[in-house]
Amino acid sequence: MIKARLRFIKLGEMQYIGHLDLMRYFQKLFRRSGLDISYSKGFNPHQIMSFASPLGVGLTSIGEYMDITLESIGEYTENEWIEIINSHSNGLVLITAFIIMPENIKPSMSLLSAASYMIDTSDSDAAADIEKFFNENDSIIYIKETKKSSKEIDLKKGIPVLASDYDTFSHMLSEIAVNDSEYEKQYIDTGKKGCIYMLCKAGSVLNIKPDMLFEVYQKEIDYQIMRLDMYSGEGRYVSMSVK
Amino acid sequence: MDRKPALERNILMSVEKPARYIGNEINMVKKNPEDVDIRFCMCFPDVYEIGMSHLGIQILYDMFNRRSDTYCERVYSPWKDLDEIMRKENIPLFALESQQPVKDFDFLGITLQYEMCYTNVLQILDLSHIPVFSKDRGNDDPVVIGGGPCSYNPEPLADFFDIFYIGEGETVYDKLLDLYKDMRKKDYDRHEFLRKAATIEGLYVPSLYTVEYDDEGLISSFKPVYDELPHKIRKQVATDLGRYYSVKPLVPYIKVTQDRAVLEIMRGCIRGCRFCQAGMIYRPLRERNADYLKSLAKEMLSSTGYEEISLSSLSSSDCSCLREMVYYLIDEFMDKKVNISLPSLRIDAFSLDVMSKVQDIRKSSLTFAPEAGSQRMRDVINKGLTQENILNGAMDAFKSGWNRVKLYFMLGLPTETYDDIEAIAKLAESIAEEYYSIPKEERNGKVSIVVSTSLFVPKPFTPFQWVSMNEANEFTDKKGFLMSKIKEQLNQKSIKYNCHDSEVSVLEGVFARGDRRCGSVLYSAYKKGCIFDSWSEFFDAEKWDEAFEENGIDPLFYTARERSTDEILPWDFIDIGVTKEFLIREYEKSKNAVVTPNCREKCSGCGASSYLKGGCRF
Repeated sequence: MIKARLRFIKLGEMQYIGHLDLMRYFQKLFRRSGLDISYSKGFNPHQIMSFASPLGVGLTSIGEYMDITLESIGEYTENEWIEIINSHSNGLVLITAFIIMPENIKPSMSLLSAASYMIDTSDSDAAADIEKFFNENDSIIYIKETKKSSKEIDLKKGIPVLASDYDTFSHMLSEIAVNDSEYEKQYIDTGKKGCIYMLCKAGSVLNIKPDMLFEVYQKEIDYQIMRLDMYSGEGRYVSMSVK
Repeated sequence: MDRKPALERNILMSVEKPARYIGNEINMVKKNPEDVDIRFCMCFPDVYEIGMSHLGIQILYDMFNRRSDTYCERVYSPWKDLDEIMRKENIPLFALESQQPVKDFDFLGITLQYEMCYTNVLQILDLSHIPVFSKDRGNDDPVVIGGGPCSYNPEPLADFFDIFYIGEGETVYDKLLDLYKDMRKKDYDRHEFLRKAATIEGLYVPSLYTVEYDDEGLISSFKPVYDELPHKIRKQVATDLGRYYSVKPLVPYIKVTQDRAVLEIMRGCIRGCRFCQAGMIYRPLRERNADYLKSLAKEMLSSTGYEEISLSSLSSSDCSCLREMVYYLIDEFMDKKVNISLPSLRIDAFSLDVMSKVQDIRKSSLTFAPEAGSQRMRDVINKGLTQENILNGAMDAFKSGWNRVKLYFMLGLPTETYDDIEAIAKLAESIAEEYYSIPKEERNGKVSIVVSTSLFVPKPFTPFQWVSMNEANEFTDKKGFLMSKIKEQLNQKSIKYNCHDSEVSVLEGVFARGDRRCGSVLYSAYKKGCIFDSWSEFFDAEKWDEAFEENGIDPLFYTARERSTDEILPWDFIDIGVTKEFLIREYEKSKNAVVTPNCREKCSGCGASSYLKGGCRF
């Protein structure tokens, strides 16, 4: 049994494919690729596969992670597998890292502590205004409604880094995290105006989503969110692409 | 080619299942529309999940795209939510592949699988901004072609289609496309093209035929307007089933109805059930070769990554290579975690053995389709299944561990009496009693029997094409009666009863055997907002009643009236190989509850063997 963590991108119209359908997509993709993936036991065996954090419909991403279990790696290297799998995919979902993990590694889902995002508003003034709104307030209270009660969340505590410029963001992030800006730069136009970049705390205790900030900000703007990466670790965040 | 979704992000985000509209599925064919001579849009006029489950389109999609001069794309009915947005924002309907408007295509081919999709056909044309009536289309509009089982009586749709392709698509489409390409090179004239197309065997151009009616409203004459056109349209039959099959079927992102690789093992059926249109129009029987099927299975599974493969045919148990194929699939693919699904199998020792290997007995149910409750009624419909067959099959299944049974019946069959209906309840009870005759310690809990009834709709080209169909209130009474009889049974708690909606079936009956005059009703109903009529949440009986009323058309003329065998039927101009004489013989035999042996037992001379050199081989 081999445990592997895959990083993948989900771009373009694949944003309209929900999480369950994406799982079904991967199951068929791995079968087409001939990957020797492990199956659960029982009458309806399914591939052993779990995701760090399901991506919502309408979001794209260049930093998704999934854990799989393999019976064997076969005759190819990890990089060769990336090529094989991608040649059987649709060009919009592509594997960008194939990392063999120690067998006792915890699921990515339970390691997740933060995720970074790029929010494209296509409007420089709006982006600058949001950045100002974020920086000038000591606390930004988002009220999370649940069926029974409502809970106040301070987004200033949940969003450790926010900037409207990629290089600034990447630099600020590198002071508290091990990030991979070289990878990100392959996929995003870092000079694009009107974008907001942020690192949000994630996981089962506190799960911050970029929409929360826009909800408190309250001005009607259209935006497209792309997830850039996911991190594990407390205090110092480490990109999940780091073995 | 720059491929962007035709719909803006805010629209895609506001509709249910946006994946229905984005295309780009695995195995989607990519061509540059500018590099081809012919753009063909293939349409299944129902929602994506239904349309994507249709095997015929996959075969034709592959066949058309093998031509380097043709790009075949697809379109399905936008669901109601998007339909409303497209109308409001005036967005033309687009094909999934290029995301470009359907109205810019050369052909729009619409498959007609059931009558209740007819309003969706009008929706497709309307949303595409293609004139709904054939007569209003110009040289720049696509040629609209209909095909599929409902085109065996295309008359209710005659005003809306330019051409109907009668029969299997594998034969003369090349001729049609070649003709079109040739005529497009010169001064193309739509009318001239249709006139030439109408001389290709199997193609029916309704605008080139005129119908006259007598005082009683019966057809008095049906003839072509030009001398060179045939009086009879000959159904097309693919005699070589080894030529076309898609080994790279499209794999949808979202879960669709038929979410698996489908292997069509044979076409046609030897049974000759008298209510069954498929059993007649797909004659003669043709089987695919086992070696070919095995290679198809292998290629399809590796090109799609599907975890399930299904064998498809009208009656798989009658396929001579069934055993070989089933054991091959089990041996070759079971340990590769491929599920094998086997619909339409007769319950016998072999099928029980196989099913116990490929499915979880505790979770699956067995299906029987006796179609009628009494032996007399089963003889009338020529369903060669006895009470003994059913009870023995059920008992064998129970002993193998099954405890769930589904039973399919029809109500409203010709000559049906209330005794025949009561026999349905009694048959279900007998099956329950079989189960409880097994000692308690060997049983697997309670038995569950589900009785489903559909309502019999007489179809063209069957021995019952002349009979009177029940009216909605008769159906309702019969359903109520059956329910009360089930409640009287000793084991009624183990028997559940499901039934179809009466009004939808009556409407289906009108369009199944309707003539050209029914087109006006269809158009009115569509204009009133009827679409997705096969979806009970959208079916609006009142609007349909108004549409009949406004057009002065009595639905009972088409459904309840018993027709004389010398009446000119709206579909008589089609020659399906099976002769009218044979259908009349079968009709007469049904009145006396006399059964006809199946094709393997004895040839009954139906006429379909004329398609095969040297006739049928059994």
